[in-house]
Amino acid sequence: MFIDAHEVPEATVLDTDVCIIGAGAAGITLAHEFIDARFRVSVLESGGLEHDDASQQLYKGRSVGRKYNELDACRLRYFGGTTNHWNGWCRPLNAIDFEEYSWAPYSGWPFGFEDLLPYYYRAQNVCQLGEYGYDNIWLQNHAGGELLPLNEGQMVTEVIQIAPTRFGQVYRSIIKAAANVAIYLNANVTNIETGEMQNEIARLRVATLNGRKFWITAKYYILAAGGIENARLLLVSNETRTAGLGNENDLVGRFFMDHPEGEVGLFLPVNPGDKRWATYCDEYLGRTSTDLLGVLAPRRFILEQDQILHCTIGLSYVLPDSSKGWNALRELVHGNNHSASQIESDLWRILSDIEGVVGDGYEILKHGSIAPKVFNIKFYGQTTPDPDSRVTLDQERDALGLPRVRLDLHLSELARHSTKRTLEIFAGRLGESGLGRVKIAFDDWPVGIKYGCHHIGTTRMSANPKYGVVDADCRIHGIGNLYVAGSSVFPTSGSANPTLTIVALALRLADQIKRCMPG
Amino acid sequence: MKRSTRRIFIATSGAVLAAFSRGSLHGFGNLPSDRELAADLVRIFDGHQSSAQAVGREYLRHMPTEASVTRLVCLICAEDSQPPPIGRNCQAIRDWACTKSRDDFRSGRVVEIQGWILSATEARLCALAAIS
Repeated sequence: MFIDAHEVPEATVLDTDVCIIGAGAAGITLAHEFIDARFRVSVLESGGLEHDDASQQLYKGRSVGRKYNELDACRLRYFGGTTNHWNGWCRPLNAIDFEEYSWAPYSGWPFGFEDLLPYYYRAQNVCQLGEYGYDNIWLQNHAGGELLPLNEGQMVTEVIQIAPTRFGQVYRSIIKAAANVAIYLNANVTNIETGEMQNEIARLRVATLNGRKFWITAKYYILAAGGIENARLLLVSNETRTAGLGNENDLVGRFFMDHPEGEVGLFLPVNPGDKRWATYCDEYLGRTSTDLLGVLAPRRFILEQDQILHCTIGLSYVLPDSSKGWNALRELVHGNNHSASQIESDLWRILSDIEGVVGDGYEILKHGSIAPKVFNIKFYGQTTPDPDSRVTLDQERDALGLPRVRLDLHLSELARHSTKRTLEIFAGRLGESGLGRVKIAFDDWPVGIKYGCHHIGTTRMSANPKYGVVDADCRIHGIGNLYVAGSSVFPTSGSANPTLTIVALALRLADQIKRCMPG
Repeated sequence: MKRSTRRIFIATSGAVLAAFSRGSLHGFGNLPSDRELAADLVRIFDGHQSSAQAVGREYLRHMPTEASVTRLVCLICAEDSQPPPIGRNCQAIRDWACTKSRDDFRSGRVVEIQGWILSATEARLCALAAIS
């Protein structure tokens, strides 16, 4: 059932068994898993069923240091959360992302990829994806993808499955019909209150924007409000523990990570008409990818040999002189007075001579009148956990009287170097395979760098409370009945889009909660 | 692929030049001159000499020490178990250049021209076109 918190009587103390804070991908997955369980579930969602400005304003914050997206633009605060506008790109983390490796400080999860794999399989259905398959073999054998001949040696094709599932719309009816699940809309948690011993949560203080206040008590509480908001709620809940909850070791809000991404060069193919490019292009001749996208990554032995982070590369095809995007790209990558297209034309003719020209490319060469076709090279990177990259509380307060957030994002030198090195490897492999030539337009993070809006790491996992806010079960260290769901628990980000992992971890946590509940 | 810096990194040495053996060339009773060799090599650029020359000039701007037909011919043909098929048809030379170019990428013998990563062989062939 859906309940408008504006209609909850003032000073009510609601009681439930499991209380979930937030109704995004994690919160909805949990609620859905608890349908028909033998316990009551309440979900507190700050917004309503649709976007509204007043709720969205609660997401405003300030970014200091490295330029970042507006914090109220990259998150949505209503039922369904940020899935209400995401692109639906899904892939699991790689096995190496779970491991501790010597060249990346603070790396390592308290469990391995194989432990999460069963939940990844289940997460496929939740995200309305197809068969689980994310490697080059699956792409070729099961999905009919035509791959570049780069899957031996230093690089390999990985797969992104695409399904922009709007969790709020897809799961609304079934959750509404569930007798044991109540969704409170317009319900903002303003404080997480502990009991006398401070090792257990006693109740949540809830407020609406029109001033109504009430409480809710539960046996178990799950914070599922997003990678920034999870940290914020722990930090503002400082009436008994002045540093905030779960923050005895000053870790809450630290290790903030996102995925840097952007256009970092050009690729000049020998044969621009080769159908295999479509496998790797998120934009190909005006068509965006529908359900599958190939990306290229260095193999594991290269990551270990060169001591770099796992990054991936994709392509997008741009018709020259046909769009603002093309001109903007040319401005970006051509920083000198040489005619922007001339050297590409010269190189392509030389390349055609040396490599030989087939198919469409030969026709183009023969007629000699069509400008060479290039692809944008896109990278999807990651950064390393850095305790100084963090979310803290700001002086300014929101309409509920809570401190807003202040974000200070850091990107590591290892991340920059890994991106550059991956591009060099890519250029070498394409040249070795006779597929074309690469222009690398990356030496340092560009001013206009983009991010995936993936807010990761602020309540990271570790078996040791000195290095993590939550344990391997995603329970806050030192507080027996408070759990965290979402990407804030990731100790490392990998380069994969986080939603599939968010859902997998939520499914895992749901199973744990069910085991804790009697009956 | 070796790590490359932004600058062109292929270095030469007298030892490399000395290693080049003209006796290894195929099909010649009398050894061709450097200019004859160069003319044969740059035939692969078909009707695109101007493009090759443009790229070659750019390469030599960064590597002025290689602006000599003799030096370029030696560098192009050195470090190679299979010397260029001089005197044979253009396609044979093109195939040789293609193989060598791909081997360059495999071995990390690459250069950077305005950000573009090229094989050392193709860059030097272009340079040869520019000055021969």
